[in-house]
Amino acid sequence: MDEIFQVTAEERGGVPVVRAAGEVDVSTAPMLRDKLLELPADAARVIVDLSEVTFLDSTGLGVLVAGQKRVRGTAAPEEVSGRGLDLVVTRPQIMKVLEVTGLTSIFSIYPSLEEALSS
Amino acid sequence: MTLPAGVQGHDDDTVLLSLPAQPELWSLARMTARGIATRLDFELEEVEDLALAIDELCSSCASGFPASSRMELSYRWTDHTIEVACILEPRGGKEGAAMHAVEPLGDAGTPTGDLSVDELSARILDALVDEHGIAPAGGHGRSAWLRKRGHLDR
Repeated sequence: MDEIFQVTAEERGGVPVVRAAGEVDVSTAPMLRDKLLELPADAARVIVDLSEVTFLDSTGLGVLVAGQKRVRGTAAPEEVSGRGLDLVVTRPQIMKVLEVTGLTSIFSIYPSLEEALSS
Repeated sequence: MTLPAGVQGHDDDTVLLSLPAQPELWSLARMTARGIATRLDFELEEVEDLALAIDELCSSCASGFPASSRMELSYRWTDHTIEVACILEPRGGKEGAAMHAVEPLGDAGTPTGDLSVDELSARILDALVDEHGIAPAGGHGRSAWLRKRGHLDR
């Protein structure tokens, strides 16, 4: 059943972009985590494009939260601005999961990859 | 299968699903929920909410148990309400890898605080279903259940 999830990484304008597609659950979330861990440890900003993700559970959310913490690293609070793991979310169901868990406050969320890249 | 208190139904409105407690198979539990909810005229958003809730139910029920354990899910429904119970029967002893080990996501004081996957899962269940619960089950297992009403039952 692994065919229901795919994850790739590329660089766009100097920013690492991870694209996920399919269902992110307890069995596929490790693939997303591993892809995030492959990125340069000193990347100041990472974009995770979830526009093709059709399902996201608490395990997937946990990977994203851990990724946010890794990117922000040990930066002082005044240095956090501009650093971080940003999300591209287009599907209402995925946005709803972020909202009900209160995670919209820790991610910058964009409606398209283009808007995320231009911000 | 003995259901936890609060889960009731009739045999002719019941689907039983028995599967190994392997995360890659939980999509079957979600698929079953989607099928039943669709038949009950749940709206698309409600169907997807239920599917996510079922996933969290399986996760919370199996957390910490070997993947060789068995999960028994029962889906029972009335006109516009679905009740799902999950009972985990431990099998395989210590040789099986512990299921769904949850790594800490952050230290207190970071932007993520001490938020854990378990806490995220609880928030999801609180938000998406009308009632849910979890309790020890016989044979050192665990049971968890949820109830979700469709919009026509509100």
